[in-house]
Amino acid sequence: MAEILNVSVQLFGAGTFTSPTFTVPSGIANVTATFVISPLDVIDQAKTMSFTLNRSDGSGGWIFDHGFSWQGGPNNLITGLARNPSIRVDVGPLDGQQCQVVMVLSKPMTCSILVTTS
Amino acid sequence: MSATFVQSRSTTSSGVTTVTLAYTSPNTANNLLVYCTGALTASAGQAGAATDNNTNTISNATTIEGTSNAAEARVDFVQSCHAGSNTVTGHNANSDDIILQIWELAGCATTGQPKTTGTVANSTTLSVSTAASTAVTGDAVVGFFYVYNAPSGPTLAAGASFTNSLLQNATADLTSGMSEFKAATVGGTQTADGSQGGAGDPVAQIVVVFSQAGAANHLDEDYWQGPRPRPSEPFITVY
Repeated sequence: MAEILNVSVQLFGAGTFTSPTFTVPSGIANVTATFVISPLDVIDQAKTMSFTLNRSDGSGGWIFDHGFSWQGGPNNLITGLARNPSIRVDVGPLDGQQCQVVMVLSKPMTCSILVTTS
Repeated sequence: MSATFVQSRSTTSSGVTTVTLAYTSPNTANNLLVYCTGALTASAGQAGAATDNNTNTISNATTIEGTSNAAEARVDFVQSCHAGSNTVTGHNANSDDIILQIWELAGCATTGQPKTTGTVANSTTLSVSTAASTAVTGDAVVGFFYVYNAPSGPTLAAGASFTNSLLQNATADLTSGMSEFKAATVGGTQTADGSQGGAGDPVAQIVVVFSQAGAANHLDEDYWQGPRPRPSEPFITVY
């Protein structure tokens, strides 16, 4: 597993955060994005996140590839606990492409973002 | 015309209410799209129908509840898709694990789908057969398997007769999903199968058969293409 993007823990304001551009290596099987959210935020049902990962269209634009929507709270069926969201995709059209992560928050939230090969 | 594979992709997300995935290439008009969703749910029906952003008409082929309604698997489909880029969204009202696997198949009928389905709620043996034996050679056979509490690591494998497959292990919880496709090589009852490693866990299982284009379920008057005798003509000529 190799790190592709690492956005360190910080307080993100409500609204849209766009990551620096990063390149997905060629020849990998999967791309995984993992969020670590602060303990207070992860149990807060008022906190929501929309996550998307886009790939470059080669001419300055971006093409949606995958994403999720998340809401804080005790959402794990097995443990009954709140949990950090994550997403994994087969690499598909991301292979060797320039990408960006876009995160939209309903309220300020402290978290980190890690994108890896997996 | 036999059903053929065009493209497929797979994703999983943990702790979420929706997960969305784009097709690698734009869909070709009138192809068949298959959306397989597996979700950890607290009660039946919380894995919602998949949706897409290309104004396709989506129908449910079948849905199965796994152990304690916790592992819900469903197969939705578009029998005649619109052309163009397409992203698909899987839904889970329970805000937990979701696995979404999407397929595009060519050479399938654009009406009257699906031909037949079959389900197994919980079995450690991966084998699920269609309820009807109406499939003919060349029909599309799609299997979908979803397991909860699986041993960690890749646990599911496709059946040997299937030509294309997707395996997806969850990022956090111990869930795994696998879907597979083949064009039927013989007619009659169709079986989707596979295997799992480790001790084995009860797996929710679905098989769906989609009719190929231009093939009849059976030979009857509606499908007879030859010349028909006129009412005034005798069926037997006597010399």
